[in-house]
Amino acid sequence: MKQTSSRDNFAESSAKRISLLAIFAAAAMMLSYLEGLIPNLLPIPGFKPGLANTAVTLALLLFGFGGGAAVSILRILLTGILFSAPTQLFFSLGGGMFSLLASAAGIRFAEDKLSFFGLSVLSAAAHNIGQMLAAWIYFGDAAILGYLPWLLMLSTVTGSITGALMHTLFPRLNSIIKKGYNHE
Amino acid sequence: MRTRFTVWDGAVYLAVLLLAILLLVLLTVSKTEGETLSVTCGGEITHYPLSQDRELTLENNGYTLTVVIRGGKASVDAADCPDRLCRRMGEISRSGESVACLPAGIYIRIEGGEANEADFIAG
Repeated sequence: MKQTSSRDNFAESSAKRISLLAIFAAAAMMLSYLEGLIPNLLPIPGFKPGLANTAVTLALLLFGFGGGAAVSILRILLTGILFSAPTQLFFSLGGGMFSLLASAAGIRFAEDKLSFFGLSVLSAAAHNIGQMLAAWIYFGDAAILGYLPWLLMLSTVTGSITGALMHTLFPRLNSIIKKGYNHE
Repeated sequence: MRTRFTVWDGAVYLAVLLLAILLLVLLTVSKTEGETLSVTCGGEITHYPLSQDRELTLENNGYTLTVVIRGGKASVDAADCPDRLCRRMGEISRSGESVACLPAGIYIRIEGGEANEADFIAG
């Protein structure tokens, strides 16, 4: 990535990087678990706030693609094994990979154009597309895509909420992490 | 990242909403009453006529769902999955309507009726 001189530098401290990524993965997992406790407000399968994406996207920004991917995959596998059925693991893997790639592409190609709001909506919409494509593969019936328009409309709302979270969290996390590194 | 909402952010919102509307137009559920209920459970697809009332017990991924066909309409009557969304999705009877239970990996859908041909034409 082009704008990564500080990130590459940071990556040299591998023990610290691994520890921080573990914290991010744990946070992503807890956010997934917590949002599972909120009763689904709408009768649309696959609808959720997407709070865990906050941890994944921030990890992408702070630790580069490998870091974000590690947080996302760990989150999906751990929540899948601990809290949900294998089918759901497949759906969330579809959604998770799509949103990871969308966030990474947004950061790579439009970091100077988008705010966290646009980035987060892009990622949320991609999650829904990936999730429904996985459901299409699983059920073998394109009619399942009938939920996608509603999920996409809602993704502008949920994406805005997680975008606001990232907007608030990023400057703080960035300064804490970078400061800690410089002190060594 | 930019600290303020930009015109590019607006473009992302607009693109997502336009895609949603486009899909909504393409995937509109027909208004015709269907004839059969197709049940996808554990990789197997079974068809049941809607004209005959019955109760089905479906098991997959360790969850059990009861699907009821009554008076030409189908619905999920009982479920032990975590969110029970499938129950709240109510009755389906029109061709193309469906209820999915993601935790259980069970999917029911209405098929048949004259609408299917029209669906093919619409793409």
